[in-house]
Amino acid sequence: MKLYEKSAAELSEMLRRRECSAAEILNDVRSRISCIEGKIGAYITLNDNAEEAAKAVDRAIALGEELHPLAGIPIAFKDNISTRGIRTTCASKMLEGYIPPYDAAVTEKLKSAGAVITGKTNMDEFAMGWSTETSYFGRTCNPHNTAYVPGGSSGGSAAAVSSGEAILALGSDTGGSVRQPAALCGIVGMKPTYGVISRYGLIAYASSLDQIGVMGRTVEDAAMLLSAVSGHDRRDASSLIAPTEDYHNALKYKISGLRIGVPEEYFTDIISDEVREAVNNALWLMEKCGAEIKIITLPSTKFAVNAYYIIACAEASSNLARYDGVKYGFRAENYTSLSDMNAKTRSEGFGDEVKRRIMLGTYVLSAGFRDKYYKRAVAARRLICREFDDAFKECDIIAAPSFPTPAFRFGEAGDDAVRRYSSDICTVPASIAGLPAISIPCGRSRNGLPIGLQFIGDRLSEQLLLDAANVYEKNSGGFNCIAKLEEGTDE
Amino acid sequence: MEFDVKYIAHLAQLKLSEDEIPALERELAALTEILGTLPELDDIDTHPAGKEMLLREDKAVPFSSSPAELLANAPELRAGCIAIPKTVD
Repeated sequence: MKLYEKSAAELSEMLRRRECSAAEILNDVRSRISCIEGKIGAYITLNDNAEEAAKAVDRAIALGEELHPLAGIPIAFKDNISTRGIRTTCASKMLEGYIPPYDAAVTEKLKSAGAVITGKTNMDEFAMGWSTETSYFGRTCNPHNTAYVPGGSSGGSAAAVSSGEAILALGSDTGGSVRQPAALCGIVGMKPTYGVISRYGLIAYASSLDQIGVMGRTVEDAAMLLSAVSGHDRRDASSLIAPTEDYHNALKYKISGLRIGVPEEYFTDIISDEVREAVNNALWLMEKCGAEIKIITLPSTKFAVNAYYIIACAEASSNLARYDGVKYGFRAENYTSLSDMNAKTRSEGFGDEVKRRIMLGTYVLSAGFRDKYYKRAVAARRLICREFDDAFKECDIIAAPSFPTPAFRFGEAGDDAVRRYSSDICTVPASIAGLPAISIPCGRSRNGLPIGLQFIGDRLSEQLLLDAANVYEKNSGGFNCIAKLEEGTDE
Repeated sequence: MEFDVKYIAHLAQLKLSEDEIPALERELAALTEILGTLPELDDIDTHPAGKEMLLREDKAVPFSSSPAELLANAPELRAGCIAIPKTVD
């Protein structure tokens, strides 16, 4: 087995026993990138200085120093997470040449741990999308079949982990952008409770929804990464003051008596038969492991997508107002005035989906429409939160598909924004309510594409979610995540 | 429902071409029609009493980057300042 195929936990142990070096791990991952990146397109920017971090870890090992579990582990960063000195573009022409002068909080933590940044991964522009097709830098392909999308908006990160181009990755999840690509690429992806991971340095899309999420090929790996990046940060006003957790060392292997709620509203006609079957089989396995399955109802689920798009677009219209060509980023040419420069910069610098969402957000906040849209969306949000609170009195976690279908072909989603947006029904409720949620592989479609199962928990129940996911992983024979790299096929 | 694309684009500081407008108008009209189906939920308190927001002390602290680093991303610099078109005639 190649080093890039091993988990972070395995590599960490090998480094501790000096069975390999950090430089060897990085070289193996880099060879993998050289070999397949042309087919996958997971990265926008590779980190040319990664060797320095790897060599620093090897020097520390030689000196017998105690190391963090993630020291020497190659980690990919979604390209909306600030990395000082490394270009950070949000996959947009607007930030094509932008080099952050500071590190995000998560970047600081992982550098301090001795992790090795492999590079910055492709995404939907400004995290607005579900297939990584809106990137200014071109598309990313699903490593399981390159004719299919990897999901989005953290598609590059998911593809990198799935293909072995990184051991772990960070993404961001506003309405499902870690969980959905994790499901479509067959890996583990987790969004924590809102406020558990600092948003300092995460380039904003929708501030009351954005959360950095973790991606790995095993539940243990996801838990290791979550432990490393979570914790209070005074620079983020929404950062929770809560005890830091050692999630991976506290992982449990039994879930006897765990009550799993299955909301009927998450299993409507838009869920494909293959996904329904895979999720039902997974729930049957959990029952065999000692869980109790209960059908529950969350009637306000029908409001979730509308509320999400109103709130997210409203916040995006405010957050993206900063891109005006003045202080940083792209500036248009041939303008006649400051306002002309602003408008031309924004029109030329943003892609179509970003402009669509900015306009939608501007509209729902505008005079005469705010009460009809934004005010109702905020009320719907409170109702959804209240229903989840009531549900968690009857069950410990909630189970649902991560996405209605396996991955789809490039271009198959079409131009119908209404249809595209409605497919977010599985993931946006947890985002709206600020709840933690994890997606794990639970099967394959008939043409070999991964299918994801989602567990949603109450606030600050990350450990319980990881335990449940871990039990499933151990009893299902493991996830076998590394993609064999099928060329695009007609099936 | 009609969607006044030109007006909203003006508010959003976007310049649209004449070619872009018809398709955007249709699309955004369809979207807002769907989004507008959220019911009024008058009995939901959107500002529930609870914990106050914790604010940090209003204290200046050194930033990790130098002025040169902060200005390095500016599109145009003159005499150490960010240059923009004049704002007042």
